[in-house]
Amino acid sequence: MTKTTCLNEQDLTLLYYGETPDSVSLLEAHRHIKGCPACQQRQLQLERTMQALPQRPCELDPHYATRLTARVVERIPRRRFALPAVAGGLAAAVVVFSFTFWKPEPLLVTHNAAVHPSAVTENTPSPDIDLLENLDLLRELDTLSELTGV
Amino acid sequence: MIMPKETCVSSTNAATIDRSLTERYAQTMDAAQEQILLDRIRSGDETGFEILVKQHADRVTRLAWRLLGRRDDAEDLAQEAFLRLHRALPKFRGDSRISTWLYRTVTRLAIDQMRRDRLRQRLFFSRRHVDDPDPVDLASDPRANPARDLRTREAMQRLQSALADLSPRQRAIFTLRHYEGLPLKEIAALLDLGEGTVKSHLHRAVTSLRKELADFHEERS
Ligand SMILES: [Zn+2]
Repeated sequence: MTKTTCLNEQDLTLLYYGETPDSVSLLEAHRHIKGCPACQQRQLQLERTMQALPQRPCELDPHYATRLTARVVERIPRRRFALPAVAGGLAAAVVVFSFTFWKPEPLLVTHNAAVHPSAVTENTPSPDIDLLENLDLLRELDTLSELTGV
Repeated sequence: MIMPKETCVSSTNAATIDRSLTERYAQTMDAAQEQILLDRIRSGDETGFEILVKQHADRVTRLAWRLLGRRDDAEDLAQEAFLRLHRALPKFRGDSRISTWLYRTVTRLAIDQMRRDRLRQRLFFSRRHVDDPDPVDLASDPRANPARDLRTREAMQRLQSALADLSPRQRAIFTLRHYEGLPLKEIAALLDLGEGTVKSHLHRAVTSLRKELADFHEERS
């Protein structure tokens, strides 16, 4: 008979999987089981049940990896090839839009810049910033094309 | 839906999992080779990605198959995981190995799918995907012993049904520990859960399976 109390079910399960029990140390657990026929019996029952669980071999044929790779790759180029076309179209639209609605205000900009230099950066739409924003938009196309399934 | 991110696991955890997974599966590609391959992919060489998929395809599909219980679902999930990997590669910092990233992604995608299946089952009282036997399991092998084949098939169906009654998280934890042999510490890191939580889920899964399969085992013994 041992001094420690019998192991609880969770600790027996953890021991079965070679994990450290929660309520006792590994050493204590093994020492207890060695001297306790009841726990030995419980451990044996658990082992029997778990070992009787059928194995799932999940066998794949030797060409499976090649087939899956082809399927995956097939789905990637479609996005890759479609992207430049969509990006080109959108870039052209951005250029046309910019030319149509761009209102040059050179005098106002010069005047403001002279009085308040910071006003240029804060109030005037800079074509460079527009371009950067458009580039950001183009970067988002990746996400857009995924969402739309293009 | 849970979006697996490379940064979900701390580098310490990732390192622990990487080491263990690498030891377990004796990967043919070491970390340095993987890095070279990743650099190739980042520079626009898509054949590098093909090598990566081919390298991990079997393992990823087997994991998904064990988690979901059906091969057709597993193949779809594996495909999805690789497509996500392709999208994630530009941001892949190399804190963890590709195998770890894939393990985490597949497990989380599988848990999501199991949750959706359970919801569908509750909404439409449908049992498909839950305890339907895998058609691949049902395909008879002409070399097999018919009597033994029948017993194995029956055991498989019982197990499948018992697994379907577990919560998706319990099922994933049980599969990862029992069939994949992953230590609980690694499972906790993969799923971003505390080790105590994982232990408790595993115990509940085992208790439930023992209860569900008790009569079957008694009959057989
Ligand atoms: Zn005892």
